[in-house]
Amino acid sequence: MTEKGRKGHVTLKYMELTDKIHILTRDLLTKKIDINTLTLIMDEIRRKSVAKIVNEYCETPDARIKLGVRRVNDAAIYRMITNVEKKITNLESKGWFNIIDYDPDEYDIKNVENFYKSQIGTAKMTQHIAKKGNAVPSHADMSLLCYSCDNSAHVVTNDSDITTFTPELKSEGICFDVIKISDVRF
Amino acid sequence: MSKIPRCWPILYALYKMNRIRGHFYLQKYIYLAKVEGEIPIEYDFAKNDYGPYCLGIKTDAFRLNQEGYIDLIDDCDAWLFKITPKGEKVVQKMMELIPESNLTCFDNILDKFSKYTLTALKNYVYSNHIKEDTENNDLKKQILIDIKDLLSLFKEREPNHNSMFIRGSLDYCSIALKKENLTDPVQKDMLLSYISSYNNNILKLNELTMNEPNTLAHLNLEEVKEKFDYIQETCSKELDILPRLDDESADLELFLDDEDDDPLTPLFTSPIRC
Repeated sequence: MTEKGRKGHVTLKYMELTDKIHILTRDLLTKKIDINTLTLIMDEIRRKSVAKIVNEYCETPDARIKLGVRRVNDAAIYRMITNVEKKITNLESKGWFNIIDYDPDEYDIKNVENFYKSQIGTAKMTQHIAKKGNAVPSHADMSLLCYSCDNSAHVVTNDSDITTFTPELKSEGICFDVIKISDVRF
Repeated sequence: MSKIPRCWPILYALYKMNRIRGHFYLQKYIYLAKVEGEIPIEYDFAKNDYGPYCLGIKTDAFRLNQEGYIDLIDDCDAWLFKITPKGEKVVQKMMELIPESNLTCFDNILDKFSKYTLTALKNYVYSNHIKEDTENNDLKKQILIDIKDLLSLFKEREPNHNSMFIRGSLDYCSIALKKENLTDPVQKDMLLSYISSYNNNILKLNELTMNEPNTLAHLNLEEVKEKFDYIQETCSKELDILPRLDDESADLELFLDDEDDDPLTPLFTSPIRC
């Protein structure tokens, strides 16, 4: 995202993964592979994720230095949030970006929830809870896993709720497959 | 009395009264303690439909509740304020530092006015104390403090679209007030009253969600957004103070403000902290 701060126009970019996601997307499109996401996921992105990520970025020295401020104030942060949300809305109008209205079966969601609860007590889950605070991921994340299972679709994500438990999720038949973005090499 | 935190009158009133039902009474007791008791109290009071009112009392009460010094109980459309044992300990320490004459004056105010009904208290304050606010600058300063207090309440919430909208909109109002240089008193009064009213709407949102903070992310804020929209239209088109936040032709630079770099002021500092 390009903005004009006190030091002139600057590019604000969070996460080294942004470039990787761009390349991966182009790669998938070239290979004519469908890119789907769920309405549930888009709703959660709009409700929480964009605000959380932009807020996090604005707390970094990179943001403060580029904008030429001691701290990034809330009006500026909110302005950036709405700009990112606009870009996401524009993405929805792209022909290759498919948003699926998927309503997971309650039984399947319960199955996913039970899986995560069954991991409580393991070293992996203990470490995970220490970082994230919860054992069970959000309803949107669990729906994504159900969709993957129902449609033999790869979940492309860096969310540790999913990537930490990839082997177990696959072996238990909770999802089809998971591709961790940070592990992707070109 | 510089070491005493500004919220001491809230705690003291509750300590002496045991419980107070309704913000209205809390506001007026503290107001009368300040103006009739001539007790040094930091809260500044602005004019309101129900008489002199200080948003800082409300925001401090929420923070005192968050930190366990008072209980706020929803008692059939009114808040019931009660001091907790933790709050009592703090008051007892504070009383050693507050001049006895101030405490005696405060006690006299509470003894006198605790017998008044709501109507009697309102009429008393109006007939004895309301003067026209000819200096909008005092009110502007108070509104800026109120915004800072509200921001401090919402900064403790998890960042999501709604909480960031609230923080962003309040900050926008703060920037607009700092930038305005209106010479027309009617225009200035209009701006101050819109923003003051907006602050109260935001405070109501805090009340609605303080016991279940996770609900804020799921609330429909269309009504509040319309009110903020109106403020933005006023600031951008009518008064030419600041463009709208969603104005794509406006640079981000116009909304940057890192003047108030103070961290959140704690309610208590030593030697009073429990």
